[in-house]
Amino acid sequence: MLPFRYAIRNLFRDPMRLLQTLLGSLLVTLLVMGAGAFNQGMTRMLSASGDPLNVILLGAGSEESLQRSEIPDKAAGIAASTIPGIQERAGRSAVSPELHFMGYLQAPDAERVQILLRGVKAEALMVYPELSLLEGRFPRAGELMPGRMAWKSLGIPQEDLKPGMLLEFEGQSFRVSGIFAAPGTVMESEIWADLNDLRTLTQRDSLSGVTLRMQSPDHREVKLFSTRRRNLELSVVPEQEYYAGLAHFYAPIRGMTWVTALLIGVGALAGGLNTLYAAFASRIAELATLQTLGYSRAAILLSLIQEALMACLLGSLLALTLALQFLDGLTVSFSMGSFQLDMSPGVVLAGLLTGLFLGVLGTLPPALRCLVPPLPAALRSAG
Amino acid sequence: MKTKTILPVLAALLLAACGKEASAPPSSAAPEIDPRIDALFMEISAEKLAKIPEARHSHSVKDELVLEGRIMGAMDLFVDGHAMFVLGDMETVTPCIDMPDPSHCDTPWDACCDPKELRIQGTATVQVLDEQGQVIPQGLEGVNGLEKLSKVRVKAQVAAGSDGEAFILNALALQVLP
Repeated sequence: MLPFRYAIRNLFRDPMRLLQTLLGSLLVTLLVMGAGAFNQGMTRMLSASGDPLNVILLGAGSEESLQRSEIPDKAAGIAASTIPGIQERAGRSAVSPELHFMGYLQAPDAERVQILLRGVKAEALMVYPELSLLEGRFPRAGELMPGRMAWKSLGIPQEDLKPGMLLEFEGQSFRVSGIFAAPGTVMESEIWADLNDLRTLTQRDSLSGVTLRMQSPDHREVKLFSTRRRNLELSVVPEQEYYAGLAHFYAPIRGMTWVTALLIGVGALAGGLNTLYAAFASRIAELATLQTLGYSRAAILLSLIQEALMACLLGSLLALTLALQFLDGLTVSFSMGSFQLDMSPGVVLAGLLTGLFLGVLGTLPPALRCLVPPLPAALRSAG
Repeated sequence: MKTKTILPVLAALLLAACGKEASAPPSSAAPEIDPRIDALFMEISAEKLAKIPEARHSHSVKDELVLEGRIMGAMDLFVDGHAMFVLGDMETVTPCIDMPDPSHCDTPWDACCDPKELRIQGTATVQVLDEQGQVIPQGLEGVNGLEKLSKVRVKAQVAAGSDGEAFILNALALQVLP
């Protein structure tokens, strides 16, 4: 075995090469961790958005999108009075008639932005128990209630989103009545409004859907209801399935982040290989001399891998520090709302493994190329 | 010595596993038809045949009637695990299979080209109830020839909750027609 200090000393023999390897590793690790955190954050948000007890009644044929769905207004009342097994509190059924609308809103001193509005009644609070009011109260006519992440979509600083502020929608000013939280769900990026207000402003006499909260995750009675009430043309979709469908819909976007990371990783690996080929080629005679001194090829290869690993893992550690400092918890917007990048232990491990992979795989081909030639030929290459 | 002991044990275990596999019942065995459902299949007289669009307005809850139609008019005609199907009136509802170019649709039993009002007027939901008034927990698809687009004659009673908009029938007798 070659002494460890040999690898360390060699590491600093060419500072430019060290910097190049370190930056390459940093960039690839950062990208892998970014892609992982993006996927983790988006998947977590969409999976947290579905409750096994909740089931959505949508328009037949519009099962993938509540915004496209239309069902008769009376569906909510008929469902509440007909379907057995719906949760009840104080004589009221947990049935939430809703209107989902992608509308343009404008906050003071901000650009006009498109954002998802959800028209609701107070029953929504029975259907979504994870929802809690952080400030203010539930919206009445002429009021809006944004989720705590809506500031990102509105394009305003987080601290500006507070009760009392005015938001402009369809040429009218609406006062923010309160801010709500629904941890980890898409709802936190939405803006909730009074159902009647939203229906008037969007000139719709129908609903997008009705969400029911059942006593058990058994949705058979709801399915029977939709088959019996064929005149309502309803489709029954458990809330978890609805958001799983959305997660599936966004899978290509998540895949793209991985492909981007992979392509840049391959580019960095190719660049690293090139650098190491040149670096090791200039050391063929030195490595041959080590063999004449009695060190085996395996021992020399191990030392070269140690050398590259130190550079790559240092890059990965720097990437990890940067990611935890600047990427963790970063809010990202997409058409369904906003979510936070999640630097989970799995993502951190993936980053460290990337550094390990780059160090080992990047070293093997150039190192083997230097070690394979017969000793006399290798020694002669010094001249 | 160890190898000599382990090999027969492994061989015995493998043989035992093979034996279990061989004795397992075939997975494709059809489920038994609920006798309450089976008892409904009989010949029904075609006298006084009613039509779905008129019957939904002319008959009240608990009225008995005989209807004829095809299992069609919706994307989902049967409900998994529940004795229920959608019956479509053959003069009102046109399934995709009867359209000039049936290949335009992957679901030849629905009536996606008909206006919504026609689909609603021309279809009824037929359910089979148990003694407690609950839908019998067995799907009807494939039972005694009941398939998508099957021609069926139904003797039924108008169900509670049925109205001019939602026409719901409790089956008293069923006959699959050729």
